Amino acid sequence: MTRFLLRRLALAVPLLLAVATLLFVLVEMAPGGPEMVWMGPGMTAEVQAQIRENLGLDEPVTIRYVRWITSVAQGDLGFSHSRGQPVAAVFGQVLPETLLLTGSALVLAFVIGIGIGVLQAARQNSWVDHGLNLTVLFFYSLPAFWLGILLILVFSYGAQVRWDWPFHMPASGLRSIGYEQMPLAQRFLDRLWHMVLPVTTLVLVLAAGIARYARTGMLEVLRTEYIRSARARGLPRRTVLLRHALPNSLLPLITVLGLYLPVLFSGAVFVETVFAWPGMGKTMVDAVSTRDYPLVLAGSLLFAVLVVLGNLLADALYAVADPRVRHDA
Amino acid sequence: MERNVPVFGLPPVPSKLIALGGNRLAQFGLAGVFAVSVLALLAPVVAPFDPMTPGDLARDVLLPPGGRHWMGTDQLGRDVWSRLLFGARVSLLVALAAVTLSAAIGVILGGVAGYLGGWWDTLVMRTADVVLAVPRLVLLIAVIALLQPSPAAIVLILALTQWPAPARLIRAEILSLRDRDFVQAAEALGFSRRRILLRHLIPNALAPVLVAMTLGVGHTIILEAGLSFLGIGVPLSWGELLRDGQQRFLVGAWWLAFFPGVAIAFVTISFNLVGDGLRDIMDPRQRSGP
Repeated sequence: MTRFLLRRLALAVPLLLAVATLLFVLVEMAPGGPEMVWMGPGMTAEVQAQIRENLGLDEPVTIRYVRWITSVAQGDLGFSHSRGQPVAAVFGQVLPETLLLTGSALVLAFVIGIGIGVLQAARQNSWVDHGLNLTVLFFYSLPAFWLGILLILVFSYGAQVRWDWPFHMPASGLRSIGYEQMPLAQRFLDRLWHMVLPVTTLVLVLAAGIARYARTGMLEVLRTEYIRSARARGLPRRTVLLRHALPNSLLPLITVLGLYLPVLFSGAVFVETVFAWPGMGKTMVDAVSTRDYPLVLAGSLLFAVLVVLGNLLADALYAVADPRVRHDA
Repeated sequence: MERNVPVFGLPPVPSKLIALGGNRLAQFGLAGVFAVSVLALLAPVVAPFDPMTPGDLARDVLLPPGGRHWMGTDQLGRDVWSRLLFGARVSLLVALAAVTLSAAIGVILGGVAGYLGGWWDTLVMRTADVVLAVPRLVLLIAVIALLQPSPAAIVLILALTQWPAPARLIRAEILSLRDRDFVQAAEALGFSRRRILLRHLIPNALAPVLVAMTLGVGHTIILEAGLSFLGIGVPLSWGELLRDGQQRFLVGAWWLAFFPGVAIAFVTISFNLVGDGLRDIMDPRQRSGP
């Protein structure tokens, strides 16, 4: 197992190097650079050249590439021009917010999705199954940001402006104005209150995908001999379902978990944009539009590392959870 | 367990398509796809107004649904229903083109990787790993910046980021077919490797790719809508209409964002129903019910 992990980690190094090179080339080819943020139309050529020099952009591409790769390899992610901070400091600010949002959404989505899948499989072909099938398919087929817009429209705008409900949800941001003056308990509730809509949006979309996998996995397991023999021995249906079938039916979900690991950190780009949630996703979109290339490159590289780690984690979990899968080589 | 694979000619897909007739949900899906396709094709005939000409700026701007405009009008007084109909052409065309192109790239590369194996296999599959590990957003800005935003560029970027999935599917199928009798027979007859790959292996390995393509159309429409939402989209596509609406719903014009989203959801659900139905037929083990 250790040897397997080490071998996979060794294989990941050339992959990540290739990704880093590709990213650098792509960003290099895009017209307009970070200097655009400071340059105005009335500037003289000397000033423009000075700006370029200050940013280190006057050097040849090859030198900049080598310099970037070596500094990243040493853990220095560079300096974010648009935010006037080291990239690492930017990540330090936005990563916790993203983890809070996507972490709680993923946990809820897995619990709800698996619950729905198990319920459907237990009552296969009943009206409950068919009804849930259509519901799940519906949320699976929606653009997440549209769902977010609709939720804002109803629970934020509609509740406040149209129908005059006794409560309405915040449409954006992390906290209310005057947060600093609140007592601790109220601060906690305020943050929670701001999370409701974005987390709900994410959960609805993610849980739908998970439920589809969970249902298929459960049905597959319910057809096997050992389940039939457990039933034949007179075990209660409930025990067979939850104790015998459920753990094995979760195996395919390990792959899904591995696929979602990058999302956990890279953030939900669209949901963060709709709800003005200052996390990784929104930061990356802003970095792209301000041509903050050090930030774009570092964020993308982080994403790539997480994709690799996610795959690795999934394979390792499989080996731990399923004795039929063993990595000897 | 040996599937009845024809040695020559088309895969047994057309007969399977007919078998979809037995699946009621898939029938709904097919009907939905058919309806939207017809409406899109007939958009110039069906649409009551021109999608681009602004209406009377004093009278027609941001009218709520009702009367002559049953889905309301936008900020320039254009009829939302007419814009949706013409938008269907753009969105469907972009999605179909992107899915077809990505499947074509994936099938060729995955086929070569699976059949030739060795060095080719490593090259193709490691490239796929790299593509999957690069965030789409970054690929996107680079390609858009290079090619200028155009429908063709969007199709290209969507295809270039999505080919690894069909490539993996076809490679897995071909690995399982490679040593079957009919392939060895073809090799014994001295057919070229190209001919064996294109005429014998790929047609027999296409079934899972077709299922993935059907499910991929809806996924691609959502993706394209996402691109439009970030400001890099095809004009008049549903995603672009949605973005227009998103910028104005806080003045109360909910219909601008609502209807394009419903259209996207409707088409995506339809394609997914067909895809689920196809998958059930191809892989009876996963059948969801009679």
